[in-house]
Amino acid sequence: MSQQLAIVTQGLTKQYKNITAVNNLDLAVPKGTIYGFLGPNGAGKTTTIRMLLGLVKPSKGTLSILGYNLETQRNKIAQKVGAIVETPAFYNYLSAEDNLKVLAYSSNLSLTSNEINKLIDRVGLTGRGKDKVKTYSLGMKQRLGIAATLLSNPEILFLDEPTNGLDPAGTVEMRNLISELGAENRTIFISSHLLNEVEQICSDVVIVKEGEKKLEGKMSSLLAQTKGFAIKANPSIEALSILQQYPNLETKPETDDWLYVKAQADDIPSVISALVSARVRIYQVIERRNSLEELFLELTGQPKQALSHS
Amino acid sequence: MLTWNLFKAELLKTYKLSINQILMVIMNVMGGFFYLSMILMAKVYGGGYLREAEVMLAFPRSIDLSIMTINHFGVLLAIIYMANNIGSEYGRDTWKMILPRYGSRLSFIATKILVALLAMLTLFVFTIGFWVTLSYLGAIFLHVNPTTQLTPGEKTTTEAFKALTMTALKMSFYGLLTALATTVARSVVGGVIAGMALSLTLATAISVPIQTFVRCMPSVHISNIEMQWTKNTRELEEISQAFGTVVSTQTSLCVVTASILLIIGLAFYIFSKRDIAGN
Repeated sequence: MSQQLAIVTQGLTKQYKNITAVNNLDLAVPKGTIYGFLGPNGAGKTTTIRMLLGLVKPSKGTLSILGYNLETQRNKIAQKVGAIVETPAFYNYLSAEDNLKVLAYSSNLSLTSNEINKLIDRVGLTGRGKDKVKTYSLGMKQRLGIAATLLSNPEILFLDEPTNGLDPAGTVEMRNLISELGAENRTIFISSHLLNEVEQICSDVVIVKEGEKKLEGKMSSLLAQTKGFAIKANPSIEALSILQQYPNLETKPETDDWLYVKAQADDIPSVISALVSARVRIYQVIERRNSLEELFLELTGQPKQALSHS
Repeated sequence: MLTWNLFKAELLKTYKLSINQILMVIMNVMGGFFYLSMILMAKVYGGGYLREAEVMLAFPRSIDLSIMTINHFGVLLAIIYMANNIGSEYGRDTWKMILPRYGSRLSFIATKILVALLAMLTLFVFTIGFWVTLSYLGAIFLHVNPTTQLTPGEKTTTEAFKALTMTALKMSFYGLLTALATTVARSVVGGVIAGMALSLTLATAISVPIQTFVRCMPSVHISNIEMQWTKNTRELEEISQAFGTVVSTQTSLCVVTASILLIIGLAFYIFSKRDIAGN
């Protein structure tokens, strides 16, 4: 049986005069997944989220949420969706409690003060519910934004840069909260620049650039691909000359002691055997896998200097 | 679909918005300052000041002053109020938080306009009540009769009611026009400027020497309704000259109603079609 889909877009396009913000984007987000939506600045992430929320009308293409057409069946979707788009916006002259009341009423819900306070507690704003939002830091507003998305206990959450403005401890808390929300069988569509965060919490990922999809897949399978091996050997110069005799291997020095060998896992025993036979000492062999950061930079054409050697 | 919850959301925002509280304070401070000066002058100097205070403070004549003030400031306040009410949602970028929460965008804008009109009406009813109470208390303080019988030729409470109704009509018309301007401009400042420019342009429409043009102007029809209702023959003559004929109250009412419906329709259409793409 095919997996049920929470969000489906087909040929989604948004054109602003001469600029194509989103170009022919096909998405199929399975229900119950934490779906990372990645791309550099200006890739069309926020425009896509705004289109998925009905704030911006697509120039072309179709989109459906939970099987309902967004254009014609909005009333069936509205209460099933919660969202933070870019920086959360609130009525600064109102308290957090009043803001949540306004947003609950706007969802045609009448929540009790107790229910609102529970949400405030859940996002770590205990004791600050009566304070006006104008006294809140960006991080606190982000937390309040999460509380606002949960008012109608939605099936789908759209979170656009949810860790923006949070300190490291707040980021960890937010990550745990998002994982917790995902474990409640919600679909979470999360856009973030923090690739490490996305790598840790998302089950699926799509990378977009200039409004076009560059890669989509399960995080586990994308990151499982072996890129090659790093070998710590001594003397490394001799090791390099031995390995360069294998035409099917691509070998290059990384540091004084380390060599990088682009090879399949099946090639490694013979490589090690050849080095040992030549009296090269082998200290470590490390399998190199794709990191989300490397994949992202490779697909989006960002400078390679940004890559770490880890 | 309009729901009570949407009204509650809008009422909560409106009630706690400081500019609305400031408008309420301004209107009442103006009254307070005026009456306090009159009462002090009457108390200190007596004579003519006391007789003048006795005339002005007596109910129902005291209603006139508050209505006169509202007539002067009503349209301006309606423009500022409506522009702020709708424009601030664009300024704060809060539409993105509330619009995805409900099936229809129109419900939000319709509720917003209705609550804004209701809030303006409440502001003016409260102002009249406050000013009348002040004058009543002032009369008691000065030991003069707080009530009086109006003499023939004086404005009656019916006329005061007519004046207030016309002010409410003007405020609604210009308020709605500003609502339309603000949905186009998508900002408070843009809404206020456009609202004022439109109201000034429409106010001068009567002097345009093209009768067909004048006949299409709802502002002139509003004046026509007012002058016919209050039987102001001199002004009526001027309006008839501008129209090129005598236009009945019913016809003018039809034109004004059609204009209001057109304005609302346009505002709804623009609001429902335009992207909320952020600041």
